[in-house]
Amino acid sequence: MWSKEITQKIRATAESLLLEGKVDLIIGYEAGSTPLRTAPSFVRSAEQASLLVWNPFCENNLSVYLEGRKEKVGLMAKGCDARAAVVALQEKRIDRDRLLIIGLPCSGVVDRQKLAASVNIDAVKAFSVDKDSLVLQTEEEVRLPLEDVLHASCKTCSRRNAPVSDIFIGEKSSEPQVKDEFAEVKSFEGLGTQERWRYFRELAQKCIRCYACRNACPLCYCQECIVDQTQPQWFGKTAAEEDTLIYHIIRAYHCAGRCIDCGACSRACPMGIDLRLLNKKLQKDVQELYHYIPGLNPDEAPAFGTFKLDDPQDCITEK
Amino acid sequence: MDTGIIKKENIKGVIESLMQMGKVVAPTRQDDMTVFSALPSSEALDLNYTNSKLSPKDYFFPQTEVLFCYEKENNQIHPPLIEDKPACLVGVRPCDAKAITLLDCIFNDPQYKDVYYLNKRKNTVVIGLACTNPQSTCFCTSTGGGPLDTTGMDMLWQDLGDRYLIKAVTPQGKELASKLFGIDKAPEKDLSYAKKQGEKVLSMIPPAFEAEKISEKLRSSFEDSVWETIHEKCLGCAACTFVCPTCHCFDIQDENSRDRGRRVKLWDSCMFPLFTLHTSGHNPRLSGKERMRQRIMHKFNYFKVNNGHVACVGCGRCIRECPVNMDIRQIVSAFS
Ligand code: SF4
Ligand code: SF4
Ligand code: SF4
Ligand code: SF4
Repeated sequence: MWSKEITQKIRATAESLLLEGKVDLIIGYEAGSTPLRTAPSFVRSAEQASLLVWNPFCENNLSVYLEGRKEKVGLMAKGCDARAAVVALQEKRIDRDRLLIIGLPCSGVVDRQKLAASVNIDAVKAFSVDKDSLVLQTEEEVRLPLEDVLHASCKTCSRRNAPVSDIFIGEKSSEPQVKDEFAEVKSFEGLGTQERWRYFRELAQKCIRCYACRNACPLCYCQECIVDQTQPQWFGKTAAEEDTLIYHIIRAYHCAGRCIDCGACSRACPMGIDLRLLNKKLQKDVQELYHYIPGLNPDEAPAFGTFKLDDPQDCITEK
Repeated sequence: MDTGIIKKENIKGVIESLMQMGKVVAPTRQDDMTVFSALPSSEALDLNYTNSKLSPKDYFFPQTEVLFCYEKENNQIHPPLIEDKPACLVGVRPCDAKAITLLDCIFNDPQYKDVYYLNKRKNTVVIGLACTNPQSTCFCTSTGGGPLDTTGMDMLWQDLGDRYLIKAVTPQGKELASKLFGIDKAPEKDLSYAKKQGEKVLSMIPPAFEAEKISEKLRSSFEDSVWETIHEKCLGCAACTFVCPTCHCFDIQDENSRDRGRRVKLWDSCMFPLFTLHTSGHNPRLSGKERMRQRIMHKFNYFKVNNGHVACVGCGRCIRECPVNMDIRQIVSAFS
């Protein structure tokens, strides 16, 4: 749940963890520079703990900041932040004893673009959350059901609470009954080749190759991304459709079996591109083929880090 | 004609007469955003926008531009078709129009001339659109501009509700105004209403900082401790620099196939580690700290020293589009 009390508890917890020396750094959220934004926050002293906030605009996946950290980190974690941390643990990007997962009761984050389509967000002076409603202060008060402005990833998420946590603040959120998290993928799969190709082309035409999606993704930690390599250079750097598409397809495949569907890439995209569909399709395939759901258990081997004799072999074709 | 009035019911005719003269690049609505594109018809125009998602810089300085193609056989080089037909940019916000004059400093340098840029630039008339509804992220008044600033425009249009007041700024603008269809003389009451409206809009954007003072301060702040932490949340993408109307860094690439190839100019970004990676493997801007410092220093210090103006026009796009809410106003204010 989103409530002021949780924010208070987060601050108190952060303060004592830092004072007791249990962590060197808390990675959380602080108020942003405009009313409907938050920003990732790096809290290193007890005094700074009062910066921390918890609200439906806490949209970034904070596990993106774990890579390469030497300090002992306390991570404020929604379900998906924690799951990304689990992937980082499985892939040995971070040591378990340098990570303290502070689970938080998530109720889904707001899709700013969706919100902007229904309200003039520039006129909003402040907001609050009243049970299941988002209350915006403009000239007059605007009340919207949170459900209507949730990000698509959150709408199909049934793991809102961190599956692994060292501390959990507040009461766990009730997990919603999601009818079919792959409904959108299935209807996409049902389209003809031409229509599916159109989706890819439209995606590529809009994309400006800013790589905000890649850089906001907690799984994209390659020291040198294949698109950046110059020796050899694998493909073109232009914003032309064919160059752009290959980037997206490669990124999606590199995240297959790892993507936890936090939606951070889509939320980061300045061009409002729905990158999720492609990732979700691969998620569905991995689930069907290998019965694997990423980011749940740090001791489990990841889908593509293991081999079982009864793994389906259909992908290996003989000619 | 210096000033005039276009009634909104006549706007289609005006656009059509512009389209007869050449290509018209203007704000159009695509899905949930407004972007500049060549108008297929006058209906596609959308002047009811706050600001476009991307700036119109892409028109003069495309994200991808072919410089020439070559064939190995006989060492042939084919220059691309240089566009020399007249064109018109319509509905450019004052911040973005001013940004074009900053791009001029780079691409029309006394020593280095970018012919691709200059060709389009000299054939293009810029019609600006005054702001009536600034966004919460706008801060043009802090960087020497304003909602009615005409820098970089040949003509300014101001929305007065059911009509646009037009003001010719340059001789080209005047000439164009005399050729356009459907322009009436501006009555005194429209002029005074426009003035009042302009003052009201200006008061909605109180300056957030003094750019002059900050430039001065930055000159001795290379080693300031602010840089140690201010970049920490930055993801090192290029959302901020690609949406910025003044960012102009580019890369040159040769794309070879067996017997032919082409040389292309591409947007690049100082926020990418690769931007400064040397062939030796050494990278002088090793971390986000050095890269963020470069972005801010270039905009508010080096560019000012070299060209007399800060390289930020306060459009606020970088603030809106940054995935982690990096707010350039806050960064520079740390030096006020
Ligand atoms: S995907 Fe789930 S855990 Fe992540 S923000 Fe949305 S609801 Fe919360
Ligand atoms: S964030 Fe959006 S525009 Fe940028 S590279 Fe990714 S898909 Fe393209
Ligand atoms: S400031 Fe924001 S938009 Fe710019 S590189 Fe950093 S994360 Fe990307
Ligand atoms: S730095 Fe930001 S505010 Fe300034 S001109 Fe560029 S995008 Fe606009």
